Amino acid sequence: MEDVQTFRRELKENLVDWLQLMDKTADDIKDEEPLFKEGLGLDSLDAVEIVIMMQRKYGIPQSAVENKREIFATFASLADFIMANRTK
Amino acid sequence: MSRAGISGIGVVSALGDGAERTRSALFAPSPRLPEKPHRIRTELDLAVFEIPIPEDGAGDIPSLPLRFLLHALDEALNSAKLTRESLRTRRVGIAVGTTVACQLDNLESHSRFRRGDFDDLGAVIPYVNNMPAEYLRRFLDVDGPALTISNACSSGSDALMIALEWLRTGRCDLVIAGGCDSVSKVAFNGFNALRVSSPAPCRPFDAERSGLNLGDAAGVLVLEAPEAARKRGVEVEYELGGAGKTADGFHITQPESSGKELERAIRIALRQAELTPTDIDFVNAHGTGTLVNDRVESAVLARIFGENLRYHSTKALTGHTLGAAGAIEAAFTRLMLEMRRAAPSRRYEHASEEIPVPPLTAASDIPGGAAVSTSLAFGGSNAALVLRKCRADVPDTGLCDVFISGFSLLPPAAPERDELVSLCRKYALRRPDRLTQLALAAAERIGVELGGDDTALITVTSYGPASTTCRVLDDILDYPEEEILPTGFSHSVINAAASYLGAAHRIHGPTFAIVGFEDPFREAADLAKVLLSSHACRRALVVAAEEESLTAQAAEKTRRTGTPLRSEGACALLLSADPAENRLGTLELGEETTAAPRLFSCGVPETLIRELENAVPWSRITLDRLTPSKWSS
Repeated sequence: MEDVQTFRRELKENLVDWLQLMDKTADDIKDEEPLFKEGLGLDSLDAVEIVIMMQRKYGIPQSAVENKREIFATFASLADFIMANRTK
Repeated sequence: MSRAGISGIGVVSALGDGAERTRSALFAPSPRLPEKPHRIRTELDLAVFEIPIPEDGAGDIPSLPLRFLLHALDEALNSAKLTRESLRTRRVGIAVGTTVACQLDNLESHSRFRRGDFDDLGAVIPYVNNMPAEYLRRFLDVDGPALTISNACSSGSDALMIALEWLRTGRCDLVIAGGCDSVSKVAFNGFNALRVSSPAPCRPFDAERSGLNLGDAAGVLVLEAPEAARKRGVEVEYELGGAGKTADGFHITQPESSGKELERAIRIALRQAELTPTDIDFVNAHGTGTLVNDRVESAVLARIFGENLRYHSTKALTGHTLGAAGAIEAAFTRLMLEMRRAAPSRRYEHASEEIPVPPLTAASDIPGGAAVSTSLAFGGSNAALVLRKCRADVPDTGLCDVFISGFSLLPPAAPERDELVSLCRKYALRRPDRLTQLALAAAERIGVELGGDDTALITVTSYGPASTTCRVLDDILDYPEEEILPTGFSHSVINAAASYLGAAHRIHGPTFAIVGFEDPFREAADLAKVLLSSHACRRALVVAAEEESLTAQAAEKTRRTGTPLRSEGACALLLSADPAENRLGTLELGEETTAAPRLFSCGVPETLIRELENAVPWSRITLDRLTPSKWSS
């Protein structure tokens, strides 16, 4: 099984790259920090982009995350969901 | 100041071809409904308002928006009893708003470029040659200012505001102003990705509204002193009496929720037109049918006009025609004033608490004195126009001297990533595109506080956020339509850099994104001088930026004139009409030509750089030392 810490590191770097964040590096993303608003500061369009990138990079269909806001509560919850559901 | 009498109009939209058809269609009992697009390939279930491609005169022009524009131009000139020959004796300015005509969005060309095949430049040559305002200037053989404005959905209204300023200051004595757009694959998929398009016919201001429908259109207005038109036997009843232009300085796509800058724009326009809210017969609202636009806009209108507010959106009849919208709706507004009737807002049925005053649900008789037309756009760009019965003509105000308070140039020292990251952190900008980053760095290097309600911002580019557009095209080519990234589209609009700069520096004054190939920087500086002379602003920041991209690289191969360096670059010029802010001398625009050497394609003329070499102490710029292209030629 893939090491959790290794995967989280990879996902943080991917998030910065996918969203082309200019004001953050992977190191700025804390595991238990909320992704939206007061945490990492992402917005609803970023959420749409993360869902699309989950499909493109990890083979998770968009339908699997519909109406599941809890997945996006924190970085850690997102990482855990992707690790458990990825098909590629 | 010379009045901006509306002496001619031409319009083509889903309401019909020409003013006559439009007049009756505005009030027709069964309006045309939008349909699935015929001209673009898609699996998405979304409705649009396409119109037939005009047959006349422009068969060799591949740009659809430009063909619509030429068609509307013909009608506008005829109705103003003007011929091309008669225009040559006047100082004619041309201002055209568009989005699609200045986006390098050809999928077929892009798929070849990304394979490294630049043998056939495909859509790029038309892009360079068919920039609408510059095309019209060549087509009409006139030599005044020509600006293509791409402020997303307010572009058409913005073109009319510029027309008004040109006339007020005497910069021009006749202006052809308008807007043109067509339903394009990029915008179609982009608005869908942003989740603001509706599969059903749009329902502006209705509680059950679910988004917008795109549409094709062009509108052209001829503006001049009513007295000048009278000499040709054209009676001018209405003038563009006022125009307000403000920027939220808030977000790249969302309007600021209080709508205070929209309110300020409407109040500026009313004041300029010497009217109060009670003088206004009706408001032609932007009313796109999206959740956020209609909520913010209706709240602002209710605040200004109170319970007597009468308003409608015509977008249920035409769709959202983007850069054309402000122009065709100004034309509709004049037609309705003439008819002494305001049209109902179609498909409004269900009231909701967030829409404080319902729009007109039936045609309404009006005195025909004055009306307002509003436009809101990506980047928080607000525009309000007041059309009113003509006042007496008065002499123009003339142009004042303009001083250079600050100047910066990115090459020779291009910004490193560290500098950009610290800038983005400083201004809380999360993900500005490459073109914006360059513009931001140039503005920063001016080194003074830039923001304010009375600072104008004009950005200039030839190719726009071209690398971002390339990414959008990659998305469309490589992925299913439902998987297209929304922010690719929102960052590929020409005014993305203006939006970010405005948000970073809290610039709330008139904001314009200019695109062009024929000395656009000089044209933009000229516009700044006009805005400063008419007191539309107290300071003006002009920022030119150009980035590398596959398409820009291909496009530069087509340039027959000039010797631009093929390099990324940006420069910023801070201008003021206040002699106390004169730090680097008076702005002298001179008589540049397109053949004059420039730094990067849209960039500053070398003559200006040479003048500033001695004045800008930090750099001692020597042109020979400037970084040449990162691209091989």
